[in-house]
Order: sequence, then C-alpha cells, then structure tokens
Amino acid sequence: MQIKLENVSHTYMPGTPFETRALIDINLTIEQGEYLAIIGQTGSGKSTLVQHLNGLLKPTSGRILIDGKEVDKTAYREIRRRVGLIFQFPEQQLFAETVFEDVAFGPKNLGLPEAEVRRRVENAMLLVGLDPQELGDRSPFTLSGGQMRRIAMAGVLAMEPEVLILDEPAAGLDPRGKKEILDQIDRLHREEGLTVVLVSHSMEDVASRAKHLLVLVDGRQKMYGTPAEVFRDGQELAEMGLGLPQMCLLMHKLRAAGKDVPTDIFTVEDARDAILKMLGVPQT
Amino acid sequence: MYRGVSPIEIIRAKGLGFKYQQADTGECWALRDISFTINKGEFIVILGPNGSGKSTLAKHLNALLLPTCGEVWVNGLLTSDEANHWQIRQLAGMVFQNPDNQIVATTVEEDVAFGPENLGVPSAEIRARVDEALELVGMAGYKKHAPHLLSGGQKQRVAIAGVIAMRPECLILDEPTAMLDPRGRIEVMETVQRLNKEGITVILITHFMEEAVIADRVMVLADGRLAMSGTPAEVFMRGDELRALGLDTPPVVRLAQELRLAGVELAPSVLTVEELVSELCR
Amino acid sequence: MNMFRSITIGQYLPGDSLLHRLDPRAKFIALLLFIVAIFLVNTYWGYLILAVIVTTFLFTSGIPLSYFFRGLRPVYYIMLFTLLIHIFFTKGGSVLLRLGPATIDSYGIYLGFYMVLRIIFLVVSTSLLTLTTSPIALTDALEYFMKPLSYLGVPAHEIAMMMTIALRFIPTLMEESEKIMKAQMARGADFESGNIINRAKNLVPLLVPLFVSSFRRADELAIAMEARCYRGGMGRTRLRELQATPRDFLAVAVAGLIIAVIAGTGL
Ligand SMILES: Nc1ncnc2c1ncn2[C@@H]1O[C@H](COP(=O)(O)OP(=O)(O)OP(=O)(O)O)[C@@H](O)[C@H]1O
Ligand SMILES: Nc1ncnc2c1ncn2[C@@H]1O[C@H](COP(=O)(O)OP(=O)(O)OP(=O)(O)O)[C@@H](O)[C@H]1O
Ligand SMILES: [Mg+2]
Ligand SMILES: [Mg+2]
Repeated sequence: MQIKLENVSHTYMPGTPFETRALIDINLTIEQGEYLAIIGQTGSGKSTLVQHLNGLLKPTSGRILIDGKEVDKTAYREIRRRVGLIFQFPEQQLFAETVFEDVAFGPKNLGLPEAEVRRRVENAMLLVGLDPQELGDRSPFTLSGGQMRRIAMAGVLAMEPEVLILDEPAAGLDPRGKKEILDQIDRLHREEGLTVVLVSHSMEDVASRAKHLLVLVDGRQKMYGTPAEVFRDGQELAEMGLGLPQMCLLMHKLRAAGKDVPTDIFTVEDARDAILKMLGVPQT
Repeated sequence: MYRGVSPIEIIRAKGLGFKYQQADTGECWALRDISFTINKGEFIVILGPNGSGKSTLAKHLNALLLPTCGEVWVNGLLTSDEANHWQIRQLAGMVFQNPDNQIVATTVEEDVAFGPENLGVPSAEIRARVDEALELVGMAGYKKHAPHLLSGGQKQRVAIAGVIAMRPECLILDEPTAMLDPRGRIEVMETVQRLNKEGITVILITHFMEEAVIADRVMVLADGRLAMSGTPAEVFMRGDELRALGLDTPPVVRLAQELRLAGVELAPSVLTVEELVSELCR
Repeated sequence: MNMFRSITIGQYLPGDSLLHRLDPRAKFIALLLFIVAIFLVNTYWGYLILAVIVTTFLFTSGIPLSYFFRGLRPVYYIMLFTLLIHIFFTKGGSVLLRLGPATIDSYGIYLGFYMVLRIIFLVVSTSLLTLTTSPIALTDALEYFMKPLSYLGVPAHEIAMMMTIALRFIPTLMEESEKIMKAQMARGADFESGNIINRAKNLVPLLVPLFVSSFRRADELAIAMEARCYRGGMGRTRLRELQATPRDFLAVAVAGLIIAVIAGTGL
C-alpha cells in the first residue's frame, strides 16, 4: 500500500494556553516496500507523525491518502489493521496472563476464527525469534526485558500488517540485544516484504539500514532523501542538534584535513576499504 | 570499622556477593566475589550486558542494598553498619535511569531542595545550594518549571542537581542517558564530565560504548562477575571478548582494529574519531 | 484523549498578581471567611458587594477569562439542576403557573436563583484560590494547618508528602494511560462501544499495564527517595518556610471586616 501525506499539520489543544503545533505542513509519500527512518530531537513531532499513519491521530489540516483514496471515518479500523504501530517501550503494554493470549489480543479483536488466531500467533512469535511452544504458556511478566519487547512486537505482527511502524525499537537494550532487534526488522523488510517506518534518535542505527531518511525539526520536515544525501552536509545536521554516524563523521573530518575520501560511508567495512584506498594499501 | 584507609581511596569492595530471592526460580546470585577500589576524583565506567548485575552493584555503593557476603566501604564507612547509612547516602549520591521516577516534587527547585531538606540543612543554605546546583547543571533558568514539561535530558540534569545539592563526594549514575536523545545525552555527559573536573568521583553505568572512552577506568561485568577492568584502551583492545559477552567496541575502535589487521600502523590508544584522524594524517 | 497532557492540577496558572503573591494560608483563611459571608448574605445589596469583590479579583488576577470559564463548565449542569429542583419542588408565595397537579411558585423561583447565585460565588471564589496558588503552596498551607493535629497522632507530614507526590505523578500517569490506550487501539482494541459489561471487560488491557507500571514507579520512587536520605518528617527543613507579611494579615483582616459588616448590618 502507498501512504501519502498532503500538507498535514497537527496542533495539540488548539485555542488553549497549552496549544502546541506539533506538525507543520508535512508532505510525504511512503511507497510499498519503503524503509523510511524518521529522525529528529525530542519533541520534534516524530511520534505525532507516525500516529497519523495508522489513524490514531487525525490531521488538524491537510489530508492523508491511502492508495490514492482519502481516509474517512469508516476506514480507520481498516487502516489500523493494515498499518501496525509499535510504540516505544512496547513491553509496557503487555497485560495478559500468558504470552499466547497477549499476542492473540490483536487477531482476536479482528474477530478471526480460533485456528487462524493460533496460526498467526505462532507465526508472529517465530518471526521475532521466539519459540511458541516453549514460551506460549509462560506469564509475560516473568521474562527478560529483551524477550518482553519481542513479544510486544509479535503482538502487532500477528495482525499481519502491510506496513510496520516502530518507535525507537532498540531503546534501553545492550549492544547485542539492539543489533538483534534491528536485524530482525531488516529481515521482516527483506523477506516478508513489509514496508518499514523506523523512528530513531540514533544515526548509527538507521544510516546503514534505511532507504530514505526524514529529518524533522520543530514539527517541520527539514530534510528528506537517501542516507548519502542527508549526511552529505554534516554542518547542517549538527546545527539541528543531530550528529552524524561515527564513520560518516570520520570521513568528513578526513576530508576537512585534505584527504580525498568519499563521505557517504556508514559501516566499518566500507570505511576500512575507503581508508585503505586513501593510503594506497593493497586490499585483499 | 575499616582502618587502613589510604587518603585517596573512596570506595572499596571486597569479595562482594549478592543474592536475590526470586518468587519463581528461587534464588539468583546477581553478584559474585567482586573486589575493587575506587579513588577520589576517578571517572569509572561500568559496562555489562542486560542482567549482568550493574544496577545491583550500584545499589551496594550507597547502602540501598547490603552484601550477602563480602564487604563494601564508602569513605571508610562499612555499608553493613546501619548507623552509617545516612552518611553514606549523602557521600555517594545516586541518579537512576528513568528520570520520571526519581523526581519527587512539582517544581524543579523544590525537587533539588528535597535532599538538603532531608539532611536538615537550614533554609537559607538550601536556597544557596539549590541555586548553585542548578547553575552547575545549566538549569538555572528553570527553577519554577513543572518537571513533567521538561525534556528527558533536562529532567536528568535536574536529578543530577538534586544529588549535587547534597554535596556528595561521589556520583553514581545508573544508565542516565538510556532514555535520552543524542542532544540530551550530550547535555548529561558534559555535565557529568564538568562535575568530575570539579573533583567529584563519578561512577557511570552505560550501554553506550562511546561514553566509556572518556573514563579513567572501565569495569566490565558479566553474569555478576567482574570480567575485565582497565583503561578504555586496554578494555577495548579485547573487542572479540567484549562481543562474546554481548557488548561491543565503539565503531572507531573496531575500524582501527580492522586497519591494523590490514597492515596500517596505528598507535594502540586510538579511541575517538579525532584520534584516528590525527593518526591517519600523521 | 489529547487533553490528558493539558490537565494542570487545579488548573494553576502561574502569574504575578496580588492574589498570586499572597501567602497561601492567608488565602485559605480569607476564602473560608468569604464562604461564610456568602451564606450569611440574603439581600441583593449584599450580593452586589460580594459580586464587586469577586469580579475585581478575577479581572486583576491575570487569568484569561475564557480559560477561567472553560474550567467551570462542569458546574453549569449543577447550577441548572439546582435551579430546576427549586422551581418545581419548592412551594410557597404565590402560584405563578399551574401544570395539572404541579405548580410553579414564586418562592421556588426566588430560592432557586438565590441558590444558583451562592453556587456561582462559591465556585468562582474557590477557583480563584486554586488558579492562583501552586499545588505546593496549597500543600504547605494544609501541612501548616494540620500541624496541631500531629500531636493527636495524625501524620501531618506524611499526608502532605502523599499529596505532593500524587500531584507530581497525576500528569505522568495521565500521559501513560494515554500511551497504553493508543498502543492497545493499534492492536484493534475498542474502548468506546459496547454495553457496560463489555466496556468494563475491554478496560483490562488498559488497567493491567497501568497497575504494573504504577507499582514499578512506586518502587523506583521509594528507592530514589531513600537514596536522597528521606526518612520521614523528623528533622526535615524546608526550602521555603512560609513567611506571612503584613499584606497577608491585612488580607485576612479585610475578609473578616466584610463578614462583620454583613452580619452587623443584616445585608
Ligand atoms: N498528547 C499530547 N498533548 C499535547 N501535546 C503533545 C501531546 N503529544 C505530544 N505533544 C507535544 O507535541 C510536540 C511533539 O511531540 P512528539 O511526541 O510527537 O515528539 P517526538 O519527536 O516523538 O519526541 P520524542 O523523541 O521525545 O519521542 C511536543 O512539543 C510535545 O510536547
Ligand atoms: N528485585 C529483584 N528481584 C529478583 N531478582 C532481581 C531483582 N533485580 C534484579 N534481579 C536479577 O538480578 C540480575 C542482575 O540484575 P541487574 O538489574 O543488576 O542487571 P543490570 O546489569 O543492571 O541490567 P540492565 O542492563 O538490564 O539494567 C538479573 O538476573 C535480574 O533478573
Ligand atoms: Mg516520540
Ligand atoms: Mg540496570
């Protein structure tokens, strides 16, 4: 499915002393198969934006088109099914007595038959790398933080959405846990063909994974493009309070020191090759 | 009481072990046979995967938890002696991961005053300490603000000010940047470094490997044991061991390692982007 | 749902008016006296005087009128209800209208309007207090007034501390429930339709996570307070000791005077 935002603005509590303009005039098209990362500081409107994509919030002005059709009231339930949204620290939404029941909550709300619910739950748990037989009957509250996070993700995947939105999925995990979760998302994108929208603070995590980046500053869309395009100008990002990924920063600094290296480099391996080339060391 | 205190030592743990009673799985040794000393003015970073016992260890350093076996001294005071608790907690202040769950009052200045109020400091002196602490963390302009309207980085700096106002010798921070965005993290890290320069001992727990490179010493916990200890350069040299534990090295350190493997000569102490750039441009 | 974040407790709006600057204890006492006056008054002249006093404070308090009246919205229904009850059920005076067996009497209308006036004065004067006094100042004042009770074993400090913490955490918990509600809605939960039993059942996915997280918060907060040497009210000092100035005594005296005049002249 394609999601298109046309001049979308959102104002919280209009007409009160607490009025906040959280989004201003956003134009954005998310194509089928996209991997979009939204980056921006605290309060820049990232969460507000993604909640528009599955109908939890409605634009104060502007329109949202799904596959070319404007979303109206009757379509919101349908959109929530097709666009899965995983909030930050999703383990905080677990509530059921067993892992199985928790993951089954979404499919049951869709009114699916028992057998289909079971199939979906088991499938979703496998997708996030958990064993349904082993964990299905455990209480979610006795599991480790990383496992709880996966179960919460499975709860959304069990709705079998076409688009998966994740708000800071790796926050608070150790480096291995973080890499595992992000790799899992990459796999869902690649193998299951899900459209992915990833909200993140970390340039490091998104630069080498996303196809496109959207940079939000104070509710406005400041930059949009491929990682190479967005990270071309380090100065501008720094002014927005957003850093460059470490490898990219290194390349910018080498360039500033007069070395001839490319700057669209985001992984350690690419950086190694570029530096070896710069030094004229033969590569194996 | 421990007598052989050298003048600069502030924390000493000896054979420290700690056991939680868990409802479902029985007992769980969260710390096993840990020994170390920390000197005044040091900047210590503690790394370790989820569940390795970092928070449990931190809570032993200001007597919020007491050892199941072994001993912990803070400034020569034994934590197992209940009579020492209040003095230890004043000496070793603690900042937690979730800024929301440690701010008590409904305005910033009232919250910073909470510690000194508990210590029975006279009003006028509290005022002075609150102003000074907020100045130090760069939040002097927010005295009357309600905490729930601040950003994560600001809340965390308020929490730090709340500890500083108690005039501690030592600041223990348990993943203070885990819930913050890059700017919030920089704000907090700069604040902590500034306080360390003022002479406060800092013990920082973190999952961000980049934050460890500024430490004087890094301690790595794994499964409740002290697995490594040394300067950042020493610890990050052992990248494969770190990765086996579920940790990592900062990308630059990994890159430097890769370059060495490919035959590029680099000093062993490369930890930051700046250092690598100056090495390569030599 | 988006209103959760807007709830500023008791709707306090910071400002610098005379009302904002008065000592909370003085405001409390003056309000109590004023409430007594509201119930003593029973002539139109008396109400006029009260109205002048209240509107003067309202206009000088710096609170936007729209904001003020929005906060009063729930009270409108109570006023309407009171008025109707009196009109239909209070008998006396001359009969103005006869609807079958029921009558509407002049005394009913008279009393109805009186009661509504009193409610208006009560609500307006009380919200003037909560709008211009920060929650902490209110708690401080309460703790002060409760202090004599602590000799009778009432835990005055603990009650005040509990109120402070409750005030601190209400917005946090509101935000949290909004977040959990949205997370469950994203999984197809429905909090709005169905009969009462179904709706109550549908709340489980909201309430369980809310309880779990509140307990965790309570636990972490207790540890954080202990780490900052909290050990009850004993030996505690305060950043701001309440300090009454001549202005505060004057405010209480003026309020007292108003009552005396009203009682004395029978307004
Ligand atoms: N429910 C709400 N009611 C009122 N204001 C809100 C609400 N949610 C967000 N805001 C405000 O809207 C702005 C954008 O908030 P949003 O949560 O979208 O930012 P964000 O980019 O997701 O930040 P973070 O990185 O902290 O999650 C902020 O100023 C915030 O205070
Ligand atoms: N209150 C508790 N009761 C029982 N067991 C606990 C408790 N707190 C922690 N544990 C257990 O002790 C071990 C160490 O936990 P700790 O919280 O110290 O780890 P950590 O290194 O701080 O992890 P993280 O990186 O996730 O914060 C874990 O196995 C954990 O399950
Ligand atoms: Mg957000
Ligand atoms: Mg921890």
